[in-house]
Amino acid sequence: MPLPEVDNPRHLAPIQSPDAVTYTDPADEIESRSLWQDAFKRLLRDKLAVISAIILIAVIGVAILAPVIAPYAPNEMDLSNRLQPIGTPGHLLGTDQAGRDILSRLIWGGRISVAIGVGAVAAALVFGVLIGLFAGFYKGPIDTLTNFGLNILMAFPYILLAISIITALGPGLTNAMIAIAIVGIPYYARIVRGSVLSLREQEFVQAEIALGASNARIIFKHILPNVLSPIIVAATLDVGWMIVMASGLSFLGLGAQPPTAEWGLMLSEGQKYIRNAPYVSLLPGLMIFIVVLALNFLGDGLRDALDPKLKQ
Amino acid sequence: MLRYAVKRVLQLIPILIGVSMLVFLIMQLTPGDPAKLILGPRASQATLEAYRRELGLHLPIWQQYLNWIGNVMRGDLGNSLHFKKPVTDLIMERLAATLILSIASMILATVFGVITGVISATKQYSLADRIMMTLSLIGFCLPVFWFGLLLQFIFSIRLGWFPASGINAPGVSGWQDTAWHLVLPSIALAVGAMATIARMTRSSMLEVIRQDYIRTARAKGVSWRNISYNHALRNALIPVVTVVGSQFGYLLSGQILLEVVFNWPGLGQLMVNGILYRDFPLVQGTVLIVAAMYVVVNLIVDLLYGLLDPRIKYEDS
Amino acid sequence: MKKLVLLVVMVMLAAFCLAGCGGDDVSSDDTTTTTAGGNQLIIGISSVPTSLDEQQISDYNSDRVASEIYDTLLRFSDTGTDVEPNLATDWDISEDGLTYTLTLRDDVKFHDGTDFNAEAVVFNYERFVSGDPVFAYADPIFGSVTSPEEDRIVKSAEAVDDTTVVFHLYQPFAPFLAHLAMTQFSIVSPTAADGVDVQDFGRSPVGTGPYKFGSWTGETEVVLEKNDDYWGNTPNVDRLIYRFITDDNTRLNELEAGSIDIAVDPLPDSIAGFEANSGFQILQEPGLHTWYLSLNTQVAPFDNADIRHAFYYAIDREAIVDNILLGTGVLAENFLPPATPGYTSDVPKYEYSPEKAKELLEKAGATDLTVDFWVPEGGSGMQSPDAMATAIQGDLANVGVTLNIKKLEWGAYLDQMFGDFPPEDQEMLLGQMSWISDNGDPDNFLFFLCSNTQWPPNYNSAYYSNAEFEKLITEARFNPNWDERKPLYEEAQKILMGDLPYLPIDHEIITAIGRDGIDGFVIHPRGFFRTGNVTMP
Repeated sequence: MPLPEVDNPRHLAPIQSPDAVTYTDPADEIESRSLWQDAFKRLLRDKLAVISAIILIAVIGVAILAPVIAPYAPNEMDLSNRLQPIGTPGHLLGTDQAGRDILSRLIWGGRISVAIGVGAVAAALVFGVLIGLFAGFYKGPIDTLTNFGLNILMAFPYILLAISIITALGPGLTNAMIAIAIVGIPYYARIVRGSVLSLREQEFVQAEIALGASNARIIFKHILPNVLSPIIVAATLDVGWMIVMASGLSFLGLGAQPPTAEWGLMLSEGQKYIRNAPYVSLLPGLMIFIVVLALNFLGDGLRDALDPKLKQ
Repeated sequence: MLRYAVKRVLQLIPILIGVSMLVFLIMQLTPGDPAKLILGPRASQATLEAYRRELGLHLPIWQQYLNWIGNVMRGDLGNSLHFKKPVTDLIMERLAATLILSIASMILATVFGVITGVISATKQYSLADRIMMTLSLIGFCLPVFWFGLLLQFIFSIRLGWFPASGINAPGVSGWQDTAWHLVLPSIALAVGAMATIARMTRSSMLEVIRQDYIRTARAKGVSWRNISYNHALRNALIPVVTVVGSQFGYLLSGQILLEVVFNWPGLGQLMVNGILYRDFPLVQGTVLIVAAMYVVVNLIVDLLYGLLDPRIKYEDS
Repeated sequence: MKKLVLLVVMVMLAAFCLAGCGGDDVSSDDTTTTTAGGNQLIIGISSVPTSLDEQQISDYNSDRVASEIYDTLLRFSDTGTDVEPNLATDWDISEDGLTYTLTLRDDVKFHDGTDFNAEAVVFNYERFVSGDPVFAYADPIFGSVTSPEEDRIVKSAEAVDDTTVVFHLYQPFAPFLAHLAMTQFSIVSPTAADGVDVQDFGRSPVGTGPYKFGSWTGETEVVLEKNDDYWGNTPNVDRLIYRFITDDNTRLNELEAGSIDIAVDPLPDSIAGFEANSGFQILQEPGLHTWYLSLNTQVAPFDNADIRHAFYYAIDREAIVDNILLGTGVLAENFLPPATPGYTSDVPKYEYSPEKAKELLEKAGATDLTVDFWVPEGGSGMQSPDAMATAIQGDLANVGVTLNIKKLEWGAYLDQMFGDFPPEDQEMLLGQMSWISDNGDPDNFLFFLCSNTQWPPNYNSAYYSNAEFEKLITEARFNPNWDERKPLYEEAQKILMGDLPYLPIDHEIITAIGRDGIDGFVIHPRGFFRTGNVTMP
């Protein structure tokens, strides 16, 4: 769930409720294209968002290029060089309890976190949007049932649900991703469902129904595009959340398994050595923090940039 | 108010049932033979078969669920495989520790969150406002388990101001010692929720402040202070109550992680250890109780909201 | 607004009330203090004891606590495994080695006031061998009633008079006196134990030892009180408190904070810090201990000797000992600890050689092996299970073997490794284990862990079976003449290290860190402590 937005000094509009979106008929293609262009220009003016975007691109880039960039393999052990401090020649950020280079592990760990974050969000997004679309559009018993199911899922504190699912599936990184994706579905489903419910009553949709357009066409061609804007903001913020959840699960021993270089796992394994080598556990956590922070700044910026109120 | 309250309470029941069904279903998927897990690896095939019948494992699943939920209603959550005690006993032993941490963190988060939000709202766009909102964003983004570890490292291991872990020094009891142990974990937990509450308070206050009757009072010369604390705050706090309720979910989740970091003897640690011990009855019981706790707290928050919002409080009249 | 404030205040009050009441497990005894004022010794141990009934105990963590409550008929000397008189002052062995006559003390009382005499000894013998379910050590020490006659050692125990007890044996048994000194055969009070469920007795034990059972608070601590009527040297310290602190860091934190006096099993990396601090002393004693990997020799892939040898060549043991154990272990070249009588270094040796390992794996056609590697969460004598597991995993990855680490809590781990499974049903193919000698006799390692009669639920977790080896150790077992036993054991060790069902990595140097000024704390090579002569600063 995202942080409630802070109003930007550039305008004095009251807070937006997450369900309020302005709708345009995608038939007015020209207008909508310039909406995105406008948004992009506005985004560029938000300095924090730009810096964050740069950081994120760097992280993603490093993650993709890990095999090339990282000075060592993530599991390259060197027992005679255990727990070397930061700044040791050859190991910029020191070594961990098995003599593995921390910088390399952070880089490789970034790869995993980015993959998991994006993957989990994508999965939650796809399923959540589908569920929301169909529940909102078809209404009736399907909707009631779906709503009830979503409410049950949301009745759990998020980690509790993830932990329960992992208990059943067994620990592991893929299972962790599945678990957090499931936890994330209701969030998107809710947003989409709300939008669909209102959209459905709008004139242009009613017109299409009257004209005899198939349900699928209506759902995907007319309703979906209008729902996208709040979803994109939500998804960006959510990637950070997914990364934190995944590392949280790995921290508990339920996600990534040793010797995987995953930030949460590194934090958990390094805890034992916090007295004499605190950087082993504190550095991976710092990485998580930076990535999440950047994603949030970017998400905030996106939300402001996409705010149609400014069009007026 | 009464209608609202009754409606809310009635809504609670299908949710609780649904939650229990989901927990039951998930636990059914765990690998392993329950009879073997309970009787241990040295039991003979015959004993295992007999015990399986006793556990009702041959019954259709919906019947097993009904049996289980029937037991739960009577307070029987099964027996822990590892501790060899009733799960209910274990939960009761640790409930206090969990509640202490939750409540302390929630109070910290609410009090400081509201204060921060109010100051930010009344001094909108000032430096203080900007700083507070940025800090709140940072607080929101902090991974809870990392922040807890960081606090532990700085304030306990390096500075020695606070104890590093546990709820009490071994062998010591008494609330002073507990309070001392409570400081670091509750701060770590509170920070995230504080952020959201601060922001929500700020927006809510702003909305209220802009309303006409406030403008009028201001025009008449009533000081900001009087307005804030008498009119604006009281009305602004109403939506904040709902946020506090939803934040409790995040708090509980964070608490499970934090109990591991600080070795806090609460339900979260019990649950995580249960998974390590492959003690599935224990995990099932704790998950159910914590989820139920969350649902009930949400209900209380909803009722509280009903009490505070005059539209609901007086809807019957 | 006011309502909110009221609510907040009420909730805070509630929270403080709850804090004050605490949970059941927090000791509310006003007389326990955090620091060692008042002549008490607080020892932080690394796990919760399984029981305080010595006859049921098989891990030396529980042993450390329970051994203070009881006496055995004979005892080991403070520094080694020579047998000395204890509850029995004198003994006589018949010519044929089948009759042991022990003279008992007449001035000993149990903690509950009842007399210790020969009848009590007989009761204890009966209890020990006929426990249901079978006590883990009954079979190896005396031979339990459930094993066939030809495998049993003791036929019966007989009380001739109050101070004389006679053990009748089926066959001469060389380590018998050492077995009588083993802590497992501690003498419990018949009055207290008779008819009482073993679980209950384990929670409120009664023995004859220098300390009496005081209290056991759940997962927090066990308190033992001085036995003022002790027949032997009454200890100086009035009270022993064993605190269970599983988290390694927390244990050291508490030591530093002064809330415990001695912390056992410290993290090797942290020892240097305490060594430099003059407020603390490092207490060490080489243990009769071996840390090893246990391989299931009856099923693939470890039924193939080449693969077992390959694994041993692949592991850089020296790196582990030098870099991870940091002075808390010595390199193992043999399954037996060096101080064991009969130890020989004339056994097949395996140097660190990834090349040889790869060669052997190729020869066995196992170039892409994946195996689950079971690792316990802590446990007696397991030293640094995580760090060592990671190192071993890395070493094996270097030769193309993938090890998937599977973690289990100690109790669950023991249940799995020593569960009553036939080898083909045993999930654990590769696991860590350690063993500390119970009595200093080579039989203790070679028979208990390697005899094909000792497959799980006994301690031969590798399901090892070698006919020639079996012959040697069985013959040695029942030959009371040491000069004849020694060469048999030397031969047996050669065979064992040739077969490699176990991969010995190191022998632990048992370590504890204590506050400066504490004198007389003895760490016995067997793993338990002797606190009888401790003086507090």
